[in-house]
Amino acid sequence: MVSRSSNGRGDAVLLQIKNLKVNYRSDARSTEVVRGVDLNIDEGECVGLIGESGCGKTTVGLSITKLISEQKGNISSGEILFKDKDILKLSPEELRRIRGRKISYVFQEPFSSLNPVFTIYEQIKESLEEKGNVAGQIAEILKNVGLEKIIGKQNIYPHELSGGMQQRAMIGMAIASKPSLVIMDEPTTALDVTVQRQILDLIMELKNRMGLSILFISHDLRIVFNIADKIGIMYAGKIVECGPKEKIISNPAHPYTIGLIDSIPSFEHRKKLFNAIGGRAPLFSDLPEGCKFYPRCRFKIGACKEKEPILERIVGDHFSRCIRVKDIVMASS
Amino acid sequence: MNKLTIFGIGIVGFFIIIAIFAPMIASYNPGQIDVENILTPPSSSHIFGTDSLGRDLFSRMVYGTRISLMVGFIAVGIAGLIGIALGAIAGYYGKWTDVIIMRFIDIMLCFPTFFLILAVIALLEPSIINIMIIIGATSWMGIGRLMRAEILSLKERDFIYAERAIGASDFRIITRHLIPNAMAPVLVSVTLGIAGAILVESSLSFLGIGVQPPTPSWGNILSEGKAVMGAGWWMMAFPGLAIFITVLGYNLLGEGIREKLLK
Amino acid sequence: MELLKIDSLCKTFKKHKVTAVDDVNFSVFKGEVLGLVGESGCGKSTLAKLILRLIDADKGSIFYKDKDLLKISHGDMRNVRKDLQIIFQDPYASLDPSMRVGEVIKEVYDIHKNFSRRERKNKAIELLETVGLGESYLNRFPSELSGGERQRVGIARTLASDPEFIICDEPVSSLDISIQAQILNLLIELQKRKNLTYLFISHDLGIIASVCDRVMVMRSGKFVEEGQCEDIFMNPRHDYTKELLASSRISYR
Repeated sequence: MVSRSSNGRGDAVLLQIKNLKVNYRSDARSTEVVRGVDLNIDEGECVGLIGESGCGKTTVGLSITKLISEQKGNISSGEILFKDKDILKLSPEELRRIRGRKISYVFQEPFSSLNPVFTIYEQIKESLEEKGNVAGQIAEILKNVGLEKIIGKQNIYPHELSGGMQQRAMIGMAIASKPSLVIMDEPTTALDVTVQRQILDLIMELKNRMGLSILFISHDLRIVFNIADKIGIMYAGKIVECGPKEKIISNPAHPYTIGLIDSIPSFEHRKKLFNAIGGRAPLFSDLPEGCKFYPRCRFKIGACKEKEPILERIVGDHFSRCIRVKDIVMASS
Repeated sequence: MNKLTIFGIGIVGFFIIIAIFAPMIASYNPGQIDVENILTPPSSSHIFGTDSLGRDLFSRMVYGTRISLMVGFIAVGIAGLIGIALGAIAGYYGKWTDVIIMRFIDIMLCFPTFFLILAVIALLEPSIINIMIIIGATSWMGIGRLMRAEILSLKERDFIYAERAIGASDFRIITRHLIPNAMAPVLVSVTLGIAGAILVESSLSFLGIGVQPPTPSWGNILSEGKAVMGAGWWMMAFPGLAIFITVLGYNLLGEGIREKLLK
Repeated sequence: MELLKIDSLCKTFKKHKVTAVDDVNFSVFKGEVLGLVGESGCGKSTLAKLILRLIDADKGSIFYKDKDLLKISHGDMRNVRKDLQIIFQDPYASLDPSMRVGEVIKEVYDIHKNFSRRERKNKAIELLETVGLGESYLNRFPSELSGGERQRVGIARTLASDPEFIICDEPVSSLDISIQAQILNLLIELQKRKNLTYLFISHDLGIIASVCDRVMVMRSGKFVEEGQCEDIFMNPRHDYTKELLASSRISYR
């Protein structure tokens, strides 16, 4: 039996994204939106992917099971190794066995992800892997996601549930097939604060109990800092910083990360001005030369606009894409 | 842009140019009678042939374009004004205003429009102005409903609340903010409506209660053609083709606008 | 000085059988930033629209500088609208898509019949600069702008009539975090510089905490707690407030 690759700590690596590049075609033009992303997800690990709108994070999530092709996206290069097999090279039959089964999804808007004309029961049933004892399995799943209230009620439709319950149902469908990896794209953004907390607690509980790996994509740093073990921060189609959560929170090593952290509103601010990042994110059709964050960076120097930096190791698993990393780490410590 | 739409634009543009430059394009005076050349087939001197009074068919067709297009545009213009105004008021104010206007639309839609037009024309005299007005007054209902529907959804949008918040009057909101943003489906309806109006006018003229001879209209030329059927195929063929192609053109243009604006 | 006083305000949506605003009472004082926090459906946006008479109230009074807004004429209300303004949440929906930025701002002057044509253009440029944009934005359409830029245009429009009191209805909730901080900075600076009064509505406790002096907590159409910002965050008394705070302690600090 071939042993799977493992990271330095001996955990098995579940998913390895290597140099992923994805472009979108509209009319005659093709724009590269994911420009070379590397990301590893270990077994039982929650990896957070943070970025603001348009940075490419949703595209990365959708590309993992080639869902992106259905949205006029084109994976132009890279490898996505799931348990050491490249997903991008699988036959349609093999891909279908993984998609929704071994790798499942939870999206932002449960109302638009749930089919309004099928009952919750029917939709969960569709995701079941084993064919026997359907009612029993469904009851188990509903209990696991905190929907005990609807066990036995086979005729409930999505619109009869509240937003929070709908999201619980979505999560139920995602875990019904006992997947190895669940990709969640802004799963709590559309929910109220109190419901958000409950859903996040639920996700953590399920992760620990079922040994799930999670890729948690969100623009909300506060949530990701709370729930993830490892974090990647994306800007303009590439990862600009990644590493263990504790390192990133205590020693952010990229100007963008520092800017984002400085932008988090909290009681500490008390009507003082934020040390905000100026300007706006570049359009993919009009990226600047050199470092893409250069125009908005408070640590910029002339050399920054000459060449786009590579992801450099700072210490251990903590990487940053900035030539001034050493100065920044000194400044913030 | 869709090739068919471009084709439609081409047709519409073609006929508009002919209508505008009619005097320069027509080779003869459309009313010029020539007893020696009654019902001659298309030839080098009369490219569409002549009619039962020896008048050059091509020249009559060219001037007929003016009539048909004029009736089409003005009738639809009248329909548009009535429909946009009533639809906007019904949609914006709601409640009783809406109920009354919508029921009025329902009543109007109950009438078989064409026969209503026939009845009215029979009572009044069949002048071009009467025709334009009556077609306009009986074809505004679809536009009215479309405008009302668009406004019902638009008026709940934040930017309308924003306009009220800065103190804009209802009149300003309806005319400057709601109607311009609601025009897309109405534009489609109007374009298709021009085709419809041209057809109605041609039908009326064909029946003899539309444009009266000697003023040439495709419809009344067609009517003459029916009278001489065997003896002069060109008298039915050319006006028939003209009507067909024009209506086709406006339909293609309308569909093209629908695709472009209602994405 | 008490700028706004709300007395027993009620609004029920008969169609949905929902009481959005249930006998609400509060005051806002000049120069303060009063926060209104609550989850979706608690009635805070309805309250905002009621105060500006964008929706009709069922019962109650809204006193702005001692005038009951629910009893004055439309003409008088239009005058009040110069002083009492609002910033909306969704930058993608709060601007007329068919109007250029310059026209959006100049329309305010057109409505109130201020300034000549040329002066209006200059005032518009001035406002655009105040909000961090510039003259180059005058002829652009909203569809050409980012969310943050559109929100700035919305703020410029709100400032055009030189208001005293601005209701900020979730002004940054639809924006990315880095842009949120920029816009919050702008709002804080404007408030301090012009001694504006804000009624700041948000569902995000972090945002409320970082800009407000006093806070009111709303649930199901009623206020459940009210107090100085420090008190609400350090010593919440009502269970619902505690629950909200506990849920948003998603803060890693």
